[in-house]
Amino acid sequence: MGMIRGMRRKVVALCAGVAVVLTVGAGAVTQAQTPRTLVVAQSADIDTLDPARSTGLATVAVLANVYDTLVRRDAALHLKPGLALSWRAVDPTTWEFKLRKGVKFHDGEPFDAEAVKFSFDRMLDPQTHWAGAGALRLIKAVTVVDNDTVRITTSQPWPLLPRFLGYYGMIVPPGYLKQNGADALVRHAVGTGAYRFVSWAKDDRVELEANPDYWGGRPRISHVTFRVIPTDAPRVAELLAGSVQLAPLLPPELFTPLQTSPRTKLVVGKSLSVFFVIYNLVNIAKDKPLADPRVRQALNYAINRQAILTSVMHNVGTPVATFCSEVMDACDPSIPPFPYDPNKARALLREAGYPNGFDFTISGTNGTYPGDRDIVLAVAAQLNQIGVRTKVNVSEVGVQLKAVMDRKLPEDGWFTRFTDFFGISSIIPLRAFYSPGEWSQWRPGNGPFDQLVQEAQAAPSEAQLRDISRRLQLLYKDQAPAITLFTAPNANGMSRDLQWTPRPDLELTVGDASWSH
Amino acid sequence: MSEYLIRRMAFSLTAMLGVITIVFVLLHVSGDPATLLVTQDATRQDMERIRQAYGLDQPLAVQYGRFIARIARGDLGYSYRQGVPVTELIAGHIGATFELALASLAVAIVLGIALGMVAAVRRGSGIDTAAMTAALLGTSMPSFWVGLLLIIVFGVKLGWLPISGYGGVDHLILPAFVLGGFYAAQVSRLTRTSLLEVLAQDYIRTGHAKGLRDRVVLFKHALRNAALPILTMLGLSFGQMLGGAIVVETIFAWPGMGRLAVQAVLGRDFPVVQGAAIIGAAVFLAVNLMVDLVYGWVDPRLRGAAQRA
Repeated sequence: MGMIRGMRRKVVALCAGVAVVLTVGAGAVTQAQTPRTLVVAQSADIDTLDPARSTGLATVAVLANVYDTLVRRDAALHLKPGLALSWRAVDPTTWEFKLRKGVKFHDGEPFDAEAVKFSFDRMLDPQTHWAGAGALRLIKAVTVVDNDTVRITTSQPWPLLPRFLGYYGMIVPPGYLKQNGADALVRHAVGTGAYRFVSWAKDDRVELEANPDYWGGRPRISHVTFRVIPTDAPRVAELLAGSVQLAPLLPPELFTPLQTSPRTKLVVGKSLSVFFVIYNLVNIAKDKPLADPRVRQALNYAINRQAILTSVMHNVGTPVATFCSEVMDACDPSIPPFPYDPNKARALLREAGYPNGFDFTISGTNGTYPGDRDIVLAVAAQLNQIGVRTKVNVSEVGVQLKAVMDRKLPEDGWFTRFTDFFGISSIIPLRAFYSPGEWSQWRPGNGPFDQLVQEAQAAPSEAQLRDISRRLQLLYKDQAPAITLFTAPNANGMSRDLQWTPRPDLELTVGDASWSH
Repeated sequence: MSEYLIRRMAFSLTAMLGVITIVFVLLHVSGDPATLLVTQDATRQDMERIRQAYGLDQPLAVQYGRFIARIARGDLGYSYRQGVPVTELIAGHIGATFELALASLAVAIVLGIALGMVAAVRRGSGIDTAAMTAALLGTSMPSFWVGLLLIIVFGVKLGWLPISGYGGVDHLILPAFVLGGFYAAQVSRLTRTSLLEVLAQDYIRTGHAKGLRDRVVLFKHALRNAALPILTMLGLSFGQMLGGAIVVETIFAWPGMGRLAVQAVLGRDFPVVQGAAIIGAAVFLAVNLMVDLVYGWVDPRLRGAAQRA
């Protein structure tokens, strides 16, 4: 029994020791929480520090602070001078860019036309395997005219090129790469951007410091850390505790604590992402329900988009009429979304010969997009109410995408989210609905629709693009190749004293961020 | 002894080859990395080019042959997603895993054995019931739930500990407690059972009769005899912890092998998955070998058996 008393004494001593450590530790923690360093938390790490090696969202979001593109976009996605001061079309297949003078890379190397040519040649070289090369495949050649002038020739007229260069085409330092090898940027970033690279601890954090000589003006926040916190709840916990001051792309179920805490705020930005349930129309037989456009429209009338937004998405998001969100260029705001009209839905089904509805399956995911599972289940429930007996098959996104690409999707509908980082209304139709497109489930498709999509890519003027886009949207509503839902949320948790506007393209450029006190 | 070691190494290598082959087959059946490595603008050609670059367009047998040949040379290949050598990625993550595993093992040993001993010595009392209830809760409560609970209490409400991430000792406390606590629960129950069995033996009564102090009887004689099954469990647990405590690493943003492996699986980054599987298997087998050797030290009766085996 003496032994037990002895043990009890030891336990008490241990507890006392722990208490001391925690108290001292607490003091240390509180001191570290008055930062002038901005700590941003993403759910994934960057893939690489070399912009020609990845197009991953988490990667571009961070690298946009270290590297610049020729064209810049503001928070409303209007084109502004970037590394290029101005640009004009010399002829239908040649664009000329006048470059900014006196810009230096972070290693002191001068920025000039040679650097631009080098960067584009490198990123479009098939040996580089850059995943973004496909988007810029119309670029035929980049030529140096003089030190501050560059010409880009395209294989066919491409009036939208400057818009694409507002997102893609980060400029890298040729001298640095020649001296340190082709892989030198993978682990150490050197660009012309607002922030200089300091360090990268994989799966942990990236540290950046302000570039005092930045051509766009010295950033107000001198140090930025991009941390990786994969699970949503701990990321929000860090915001509430103040150890993280910005966390983008939060899921709807975690909005409330951020809205109620006095320390944080929830800021919603505009979105370039749209949720759809895309119909599987691959070689569909004429007698199948979905082969009839009236049926395809009917399902659109059956969905109460606002109800789903209110209940599942905590009121973050707006219903979309066709395939473009309000912030995309040439998206006609006068075309209204399908209203919620279950009677009209049933009437259309009766007209098409399905008074008793039909069976419908949707392929969905769980955790790929914030809110995905709950949205698709809500859609299924609403379709069931008009007699369309809907089943949802949840699968892993890799498996789903492979089936879609191979055009072997077993389900009748594909719930997914399309994003257009270039902000042009004709991009999503090109990717999702244009019959020859890689992801298209509309084959053989609709001739006039395909024709309009092609014209949109080469529309010579803004006015003509708007006109073609409008016709495309009206045709889309008529043919309804998908159930269009609403925009995906761009919800950001922030410290109350952080001043920063979330971007629709989800880049986390914090050069213009500041503290309010 | 060396013959024993050689035989164990041969067995270990065969086991590893089996693991590697199974992982290889599962990976290639699971899906196409190219679809996940590209953006939505990609064309069929872009993806074909990627497949060709990584040799994924070759027949499976050819890919397997090349793969085994490279492993034999010690070349684990390059990550599809990051373009850096797999060995570099693993080297960058394994340190964190070791740190967390060692800290968790310490928690499992101290907490588990202490709890089990107290319960055994005070068998049938309120302390015994309390300890075993705690153990039951520790085994049943899912680690992500416990982790999030502790984060809310100690991280947000009290602000005593950091919530997530890699850093000093204070960053290690919560994840080590969650990971170690789970194994501590199991260790405590086994310690109690094993110790109770030993405490009922004749030689324990002899020890008391000889006038030895309770503490000496308990630690020097009883615990040492009860140690074998506890060692086995600790060894297995440690091996599992080193393989990558996926859930704990993900909740606490701990940059270890578990995170590396999971991301690689979801992104179909084949070389990284295969590399992680190889390292995980190797570490597990090494730990098992060490446990067998430690057996010999703990129980002299087994030394001869190991040599004869």
